[in-house]
Amino acid sequence: MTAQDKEISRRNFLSQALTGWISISVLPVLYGMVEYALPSKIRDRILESMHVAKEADLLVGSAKIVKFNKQAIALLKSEQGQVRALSAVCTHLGCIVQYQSDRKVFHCNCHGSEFDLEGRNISGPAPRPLQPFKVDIKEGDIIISRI
Amino acid sequence: MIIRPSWLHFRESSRVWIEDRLRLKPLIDLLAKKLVPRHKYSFWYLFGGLALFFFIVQIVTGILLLLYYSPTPNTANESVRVIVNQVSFGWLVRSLHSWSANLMIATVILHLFSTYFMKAYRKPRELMWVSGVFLLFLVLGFGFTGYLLPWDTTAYFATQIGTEIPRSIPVLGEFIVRLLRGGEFIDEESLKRLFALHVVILPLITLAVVLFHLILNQVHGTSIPIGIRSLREPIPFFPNYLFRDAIAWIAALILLFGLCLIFPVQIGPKADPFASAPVGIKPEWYFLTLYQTLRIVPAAILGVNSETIVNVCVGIAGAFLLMTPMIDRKARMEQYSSGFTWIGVVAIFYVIIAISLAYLT
Ligand code: HEM
Ligand code: FES
Repeated sequence: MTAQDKEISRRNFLSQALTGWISISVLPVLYGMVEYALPSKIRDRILESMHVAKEADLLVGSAKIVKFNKQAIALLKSEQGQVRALSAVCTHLGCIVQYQSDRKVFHCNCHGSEFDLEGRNISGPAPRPLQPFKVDIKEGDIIISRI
Repeated sequence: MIIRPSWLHFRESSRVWIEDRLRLKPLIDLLAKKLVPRHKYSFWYLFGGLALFFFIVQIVTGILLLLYYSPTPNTANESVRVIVNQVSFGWLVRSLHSWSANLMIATVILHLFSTYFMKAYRKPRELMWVSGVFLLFLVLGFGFTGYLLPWDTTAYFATQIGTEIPRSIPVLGEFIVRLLRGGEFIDEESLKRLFALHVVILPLITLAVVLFHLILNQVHGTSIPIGIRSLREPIPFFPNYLFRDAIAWIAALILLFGLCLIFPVQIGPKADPFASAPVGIKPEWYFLTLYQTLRIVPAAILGVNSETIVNVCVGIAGAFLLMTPMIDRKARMEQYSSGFTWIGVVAIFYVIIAISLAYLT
């Protein structure tokens, strides 16, 4: 091996080592950036149950949309006076559904999915029923919790 | 002795002053050396330059809008109203930004189809095509992220739907949705994210890709479609072709102002995330093909839901678009590839039919 060959392989080695080192150190940086950008669950502080409305605010046979954490929930008071809470977020692509009292269905204006009073998906593209929530009434205050 | 008016003298000496310092001559010589061929399809070369023109309009009007726009759910809609109703020329700046965005996307699409049919992607311009496809994705990204910014009802629910669709992408879906929204639902976090994408991240990436695209255009010059023998003398890019570009730009400017004056852009009512979605939520025209495709595909085929199917199809179409120069082996050998021409014709028909159906039904 001449001195020149040695010089070339040495340079080769150095440049390959440098390339390798740079590519390896890029990975943790990318990982850190993605982790940073992903929303953290802790910061959102999801409450298990919340006071959302007064029972007196609800009209029989009509629905009211309230805020539970960041989610929209439909409260519905039946003719028997029973209060039910269903997620108002359509399980198709996430529009807020509308209660149609004459037909007693939740209708989604985006692509026409419909749900019955139990939240079951009865027509349209929605793949799942509306998510139900637990309702407690204490001294006229409506408290909703996750099931 | 010739007595020269002093302003001529001044002009000459400033030219010399600038030339001594910036040394622009090699650059201008380079631009003059590039010859633009002339043949019966030459007209279509104007669209790349027009896309560039509208992109520049976007940067200028976008910066102006930034002076007053405020990206929070409580203030966004109001700040746009302030721009339109109280700021001098605010309505014009906003209309220009919105119309120029639409025209930019339209010219990029025309530019894509014209280079596709002229098979300008063949060797050695493969990377011009690939960077062009990335530019198409980027301009659609601008449209998508900019749409939510006025925080009106239609935009709110359209973005809710638009950010939900990627959820059914196999493996990565959930991750992409959370990254875009910054949470489970479209709220303040999502607005800030889409805002950052729209005004910082996408512009920086787009500028870099446009630069790459233009440098390659300079390096390789303009292609001549297969089988065309340039009938007329080619003309130098500088100043002759640039003069034609300038005429097209002036025409585009007149069209743009005309549209803004006749159809100034409106603003819808402020979005209420806790109210039922209104009837008739539709995306902008450039997403209607996707929208209509989602409506045509049945809700589930063999247990796979329609969103997953459409996502996979869009992925395949995108990959085909990116890889066209590598797949079209005939064009690479300077032979006319009619199969690819037919794919392009079918694609145009599909887009037109889908958009018409979306408007009519
Ligand atoms: C912001 C978007 C874009 C800008 C500003 C832009 C700009 C330009 C300009 C100024 C030219 C030279 C003039 C011409 O031949 O038309 C050009 C050429 C070209 N562009 Fe684009 N372009 C954009 C998007 C695209 C897209 C979406 C594609 C296709 C996927 C594309 C593919 C090409 C090709 C293949 C050429 C070479 C044409 C030839 O040499 O015959 N570009 N572009
Ligand atoms: S989002 Fe409700 S039907 Fe599509």
